[in-house]
Amino acid sequence: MRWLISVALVFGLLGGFGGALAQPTPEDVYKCFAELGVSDLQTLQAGFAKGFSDKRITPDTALRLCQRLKQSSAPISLREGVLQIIARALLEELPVTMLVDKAFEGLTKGVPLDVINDDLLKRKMTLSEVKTLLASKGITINLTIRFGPVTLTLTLEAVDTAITEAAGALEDYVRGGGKLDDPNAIKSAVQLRLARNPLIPQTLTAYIEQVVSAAEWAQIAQNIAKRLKNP
Amino acid sequence: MHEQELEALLKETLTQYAKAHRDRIADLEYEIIEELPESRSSPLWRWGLVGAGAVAVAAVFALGLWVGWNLSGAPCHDPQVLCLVYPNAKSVSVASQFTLWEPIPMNGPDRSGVWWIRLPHDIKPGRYEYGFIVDGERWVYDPRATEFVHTFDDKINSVLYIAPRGEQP
Repeated sequence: MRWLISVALVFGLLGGFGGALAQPTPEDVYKCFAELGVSDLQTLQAGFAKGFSDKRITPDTALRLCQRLKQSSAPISLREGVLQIIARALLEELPVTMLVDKAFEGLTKGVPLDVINDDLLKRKMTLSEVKTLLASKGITINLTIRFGPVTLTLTLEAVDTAITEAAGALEDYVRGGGKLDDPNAIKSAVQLRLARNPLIPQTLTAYIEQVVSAAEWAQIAQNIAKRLKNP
Repeated sequence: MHEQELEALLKETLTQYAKAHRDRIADLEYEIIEELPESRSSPLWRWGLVGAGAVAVAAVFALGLWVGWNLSGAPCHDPQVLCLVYPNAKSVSVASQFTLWEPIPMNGPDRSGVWWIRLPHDIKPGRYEYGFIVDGERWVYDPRATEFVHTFDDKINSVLYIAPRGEQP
């Protein structure tokens, strides 16, 4: 009898540890969305499923965001709005690190959800414009860059990080009151940000500097400024 | 009387006294030895003494470490440590991208009013925005940061870069 109790105890403890260490699954995330009472579960599921498959977001991060939104007392439409913006960005194959991060930051700082939603929408547009600009220069996944003796094949992580950092640099430049009529300063801000991030290969940073002009970065900065003027 | 005469008289008197009591003085040494308690040292007692000494040294060392940790300055020279001087704060936390903006309490304050926290060992290389929360409500940027960005409501976030292992940021 004692032997049986000991075995049951050991299995119980192991099961407990296993449960504690288990990572959340996509199903856990969808269950949380449903519990939140969202109106368009289908789009959320489609967007996040693509995000999990593309490895642009993990179920763990998505579940934590959903749980943080559950704690908010804001109307459900605003809470769902945060998730919908991220889901649509994932469907458009945009990197969502900046959007997810800003959502968490805003929630922690007690920023009203309508302000967070507005901020996320504007940043999503910037990400989209930067991705389009880089893609127009051929900077997409699997591009092979030959720069002197170095040959680099771009990974999804490298391209996504470059898009995120360039968009972030432009957003920060405009929000920080940087001059919009100084394209060289705008380009320098972007290049410095790309150069400082260790996840972006130096070859890619050098390639972007060569193929993207100051005027092209300045155009996106002006679009950001227009969006910020119109809440 | 001169000093030299006095000294000579004293020597003579002491010599006469010593001669008169020679037999008693000769036995004095043995008398003293007999009066002493028996002190045979056993090996067990010696090891006990060594053990007690080792414990005492360890205790002093631990006390030194504790005093060093609690009373000396925060390890702000370490690039893996974030610091904030805020002597009047009751609590200080750090919130950052690497914690998904979940506030993490900082250590401190030390004698100089410095609060500090060591970055997580498993932090991935990259760029991270962060801020300090004083007494659970007031957001403060890190004046030691080398980069700052504007965020919600014109607040300011500090920025830190984590280089891959073995490389300078």
